[in-house]
Amino acid sequence: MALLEVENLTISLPAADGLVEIVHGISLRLDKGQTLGLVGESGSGKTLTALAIINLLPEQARLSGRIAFNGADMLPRPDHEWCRIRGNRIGIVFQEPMSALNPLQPIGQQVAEPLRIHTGLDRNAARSEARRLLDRVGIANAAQRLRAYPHELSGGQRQRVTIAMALACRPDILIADEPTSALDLTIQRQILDLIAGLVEQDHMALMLISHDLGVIAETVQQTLVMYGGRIVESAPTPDLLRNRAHPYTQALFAARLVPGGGRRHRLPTLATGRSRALLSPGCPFADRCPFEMPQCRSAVPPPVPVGEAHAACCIRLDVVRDANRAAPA
Amino acid sequence: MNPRAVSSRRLPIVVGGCLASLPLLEALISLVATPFSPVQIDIPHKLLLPSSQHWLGTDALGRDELSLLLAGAQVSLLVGIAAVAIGLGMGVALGLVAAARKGWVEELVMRLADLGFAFPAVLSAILLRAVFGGGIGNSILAIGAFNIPVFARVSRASANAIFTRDFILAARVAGKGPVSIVCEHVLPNILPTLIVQATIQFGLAILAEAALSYLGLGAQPPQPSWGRMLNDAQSLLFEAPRLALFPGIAIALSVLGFNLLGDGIRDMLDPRLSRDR
Repeated sequence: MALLEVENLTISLPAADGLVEIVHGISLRLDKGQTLGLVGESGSGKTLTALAIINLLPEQARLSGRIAFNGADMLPRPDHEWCRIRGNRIGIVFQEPMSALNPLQPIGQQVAEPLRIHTGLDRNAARSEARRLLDRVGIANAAQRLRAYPHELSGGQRQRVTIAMALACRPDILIADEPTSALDLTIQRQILDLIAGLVEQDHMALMLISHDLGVIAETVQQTLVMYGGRIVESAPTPDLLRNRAHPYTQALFAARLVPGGGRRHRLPTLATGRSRALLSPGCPFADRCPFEMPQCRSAVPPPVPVGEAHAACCIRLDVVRDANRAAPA
Repeated sequence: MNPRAVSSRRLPIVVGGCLASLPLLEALISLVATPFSPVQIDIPHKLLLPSSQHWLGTDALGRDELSLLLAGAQVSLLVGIAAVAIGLGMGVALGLVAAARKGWVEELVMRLADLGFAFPAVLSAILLRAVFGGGIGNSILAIGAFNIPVFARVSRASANAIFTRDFILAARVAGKGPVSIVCEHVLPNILPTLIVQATIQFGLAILAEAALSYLGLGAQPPQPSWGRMLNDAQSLLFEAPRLALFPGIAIALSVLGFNLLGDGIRDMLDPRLSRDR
């Protein structure tokens, strides 16, 4: 039985002209100790998917599908049942470490909060556990730092504190939503190493969300590439990097930062403000795809197996592959 | 930053603080003692010019102007404190509920606030007077009711900004209920804004109280009040303009003081504003 199963998850948000479907039928599964990456650009539905998994979507959002935790279907459950899982069995690290901490509370109190609520520890026990957690995420002088306010810490330290908060109740799953995007490159490295190390020590399952293939590549076993609210390619990470089947994955890979790489390939910018990909009946990437043809726009391409446990949603995979052979990136 | 820049930035708050503490000082002094009784009518000594005995002279009924001014501060402060307390208590509660619940609750509260804005304090005071008769209780209710939508709007807007921050999500992940999230995370973060707004509303309440008393809708005789002093002085504006001048100055300085104080606190609390100066 999988720890977390998401089947055919669909999320709609209200817009000026009624509900707009943002995430269209996503399925994923996460087993104990497994690490999974969700990669895609802004607006591809990564964060909404993560928020749906912990039932923290805005109230106006409508979702359908199945979200099962330890085999129990969670979607129809009332919020107080989610409360027992969220923060307790599933921890989450947010993108902006400054915004994720209340500027008016000492960090010790904020780390101890979930402990007191979920595990019923008393004030002193929660405090010493908070010190141990801060120590564990690499905050020096943890005992003194308990009383520090968020503004007294650097960006990297703040993110360590939010990681400590997420780990407080020893969750089975850690969801990290762009945990390094607000940090500079050297700190990114440290935070990723920290997360990877903690996940391994505690045998947690990790769901890492990022727009950066580089971040995903070094941290997770399995990668899902999202575009326009759909999963367009899924594969074990080494396979994905070696054999990038979907045109979007290739474009994303070509757009990565290469030190000293000079000019980089850029994705064509979409002309319209709101992505038409959300509304069109066909492949969400068709508007920007160099291999697009009329059939691409008639129906959403189904997953096509590329290798073992590797599939891409594209009807022109052979053409794409041939083109790649002819002109290697 | 040189020391001069600091002092010029602090100027409003210092001046405002001094001016705003004037009515407080006056009210405190009048509670202990006034030079003469502010309610004792003494016709033989009416309309005296300022002298060593009556520092600010006497009014048409021979009451000591200084004593009236000191005692009048009591009403201004009482109405100011009570009206701001009513507005703050109910308005912030409504604003926070609106921001926390969103949807139709927010819509309803905000439309009610719009409706509240359509009724100026003077209008509700006339209504209350017609129903319950005069008195400072009416002023408090009318000005307090006027303050409710002001605080409801301000607290909803600031709370909405706080609600988008990730630490609210983090608190929900930690298993906190909406009430404790609002009390422990939202309210402390919007408190600076509320303090500024309360200071400014306090000045406006003093002004509104004077207006209501002037119109005869607030403090009733023989209760001394700045607004009533203005009203009494009106008929003698040409014979004894000083009788209108003194309460006028008292009102103006208090309102100016609270506005400066509010601005000063806002500048002090908002790092973006203070850096530009």
